[in-house]
Amino acid sequence: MADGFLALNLGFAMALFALGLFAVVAKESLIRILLGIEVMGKGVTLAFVTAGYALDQLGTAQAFVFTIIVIEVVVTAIALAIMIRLQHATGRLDIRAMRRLAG
Amino acid sequence: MTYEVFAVLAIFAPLLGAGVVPLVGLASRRARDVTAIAFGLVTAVATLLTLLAVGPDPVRVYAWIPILGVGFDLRVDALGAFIAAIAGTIGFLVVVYSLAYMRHAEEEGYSLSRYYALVLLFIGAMIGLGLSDSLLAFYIFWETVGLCSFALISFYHRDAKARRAGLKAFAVTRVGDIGLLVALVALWSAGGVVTFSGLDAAGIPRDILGLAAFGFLLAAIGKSAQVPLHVWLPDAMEAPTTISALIHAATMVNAGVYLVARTFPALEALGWWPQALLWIGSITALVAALSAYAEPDLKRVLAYSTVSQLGYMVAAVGAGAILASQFHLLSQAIFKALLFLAAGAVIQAVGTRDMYGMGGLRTKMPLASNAFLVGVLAMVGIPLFNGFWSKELLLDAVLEHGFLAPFLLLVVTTFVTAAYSWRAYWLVFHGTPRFAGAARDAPRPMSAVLVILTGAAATSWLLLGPYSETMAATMPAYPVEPLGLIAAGVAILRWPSGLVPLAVAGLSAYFVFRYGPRFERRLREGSAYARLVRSGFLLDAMYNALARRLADSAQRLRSTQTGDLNINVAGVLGGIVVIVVVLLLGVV
Repeated sequence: MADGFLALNLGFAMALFALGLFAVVAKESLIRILLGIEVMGKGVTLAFVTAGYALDQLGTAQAFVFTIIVIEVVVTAIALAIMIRLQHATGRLDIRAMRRLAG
Repeated sequence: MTYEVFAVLAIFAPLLGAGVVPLVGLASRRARDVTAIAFGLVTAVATLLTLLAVGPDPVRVYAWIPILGVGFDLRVDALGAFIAAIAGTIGFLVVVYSLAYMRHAEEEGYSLSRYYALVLLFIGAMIGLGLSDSLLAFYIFWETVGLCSFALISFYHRDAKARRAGLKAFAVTRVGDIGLLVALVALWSAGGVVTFSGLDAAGIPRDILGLAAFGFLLAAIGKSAQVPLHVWLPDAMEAPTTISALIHAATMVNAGVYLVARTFPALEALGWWPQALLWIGSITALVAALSAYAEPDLKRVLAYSTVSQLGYMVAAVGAGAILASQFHLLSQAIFKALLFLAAGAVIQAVGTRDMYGMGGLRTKMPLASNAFLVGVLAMVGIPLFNGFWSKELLLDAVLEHGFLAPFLLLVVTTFVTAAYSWRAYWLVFHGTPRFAGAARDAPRPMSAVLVILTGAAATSWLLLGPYSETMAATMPAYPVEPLGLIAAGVAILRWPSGLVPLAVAGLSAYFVFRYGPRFERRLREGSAYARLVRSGFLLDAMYNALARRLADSAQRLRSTQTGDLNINVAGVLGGIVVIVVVLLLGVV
């Protein structure tokens, strides 16, 4: 039972991660990219909890999960601030509007 | 466990102060100054009380990352406790001196909240560096010291030269910091070493130990400004003079000497490692002393003299003379703080750092003049000042261990040291005044600090007995013997080096007074020697060329940057896939 449960969890975690990654690679709207990053983070979190359960170190895994949650909040806050600035500066939320560093 | 609380207090009081001072500064400038002084005083007292807590064994204060076996461990032995005490007390004196010295900066629009916060952070990080046994904590404090030096060297941020100097200090010491990181990672991955006390040559493969030794050596060369990475220290003179005193006496440059002394018992067996220290130290001592003679800038003379004195200490560690090197570190800290702070008073009074624009200040600033003279006498090694005892011990130790060539280099350096010190003293305080306006001795807090340091420079050698006994008692792994004052005196007289500095000091004084003016004129007009020194013995030119090449190649690679987030992330993804494939196939 345990093996199937682990495989299911890890498979779901990978699927979440892949979904998020797809959004980050393929979407042009900053909002969608941020959502993609968040979804990737959820996949990683799930993988941590599963690994902690499998290795019987749930405490350690939870410590990492809390850390991830805190970092995600910070990332979201900063990303939203950047988006507001970008909207003010260019009038759109398209990452193509942020190419001024292109060589 | 009773006294260890002082060690913890000594580390965290200044770190806390660094956070509190800017907050108080929002309310009132006066309250902020008082807060900074208060935190400095608490720190100084705590570091002195830490000397009561010395013992050979590490103490676990806090189980930091239990799954990796990493804790916040302190090791309050004499080596670390003295480094901490020097940082705490001299740091406090610098804060007091800053009260009067930095007032003008506030009027020019530089934030003194930032200044005091960084100074306290600097002191706290240095104390932590000295007391940490845990390598991770040591690394964090080490990097914090580097960060603070960068920020404080470029404190006058509207001056392009100051900004460049800060950047140069950061970039050059970074080379050494990478060495430290490599050493720590190598030790951890090969032997699971997470503390200094757990560093034992027996348990680590020889090649890994060699890599770590090289890393530590590089780190020390960078931080303690040894050849060929010494170029940042003279440029760092763009900092406020108080910061120069702090960097040269209490913090920063002592870290490298401390690191090699700390790791000496484990790495001594490598053979090439002590040899490298000996040669790097003695060559640095001579090169820096020769550079100091050609400098027209008072602060740069002192900067080169620090590099030179650090060379003595590094060479002494290479000779296995831990006691002599650390005792010279104490002497150097005191007389260099004195010299810098006296120079600060002069520079503020005259308004220039150029020694050709000073002169004749002996009668106008008697206190600064006498303080500077005592500093010079201590640095040259005139008997009954602290520099004499420590330098003598150091030279004796190098000779006694049979290293004749480095010993001769160091003796020649003693001669050059005497020459450039007399030259600086003569140019600044004697002759006819070469500046307009009146110069007066510094206001009271500054003068009080000068008086304290003058007294310390004349008497700190009396501590030799307790100093060596504490070291011998708390550092069983190190080659340290307790040494009383009388025994030290006998040893100094017995070895031939005993009378050498005396003779050369007299000789070089004669040399400067008799032939100085003609030589001086040629230096000023830019003789070949002066040009060589000003190019940093060609090293600066080399580093500049290297930096330009790097910038050029970066420009050329710019066209690969699309600026498109999707493409960048896809690139990261591709990179991860490659790494995973390589790891799976086991190609590496």
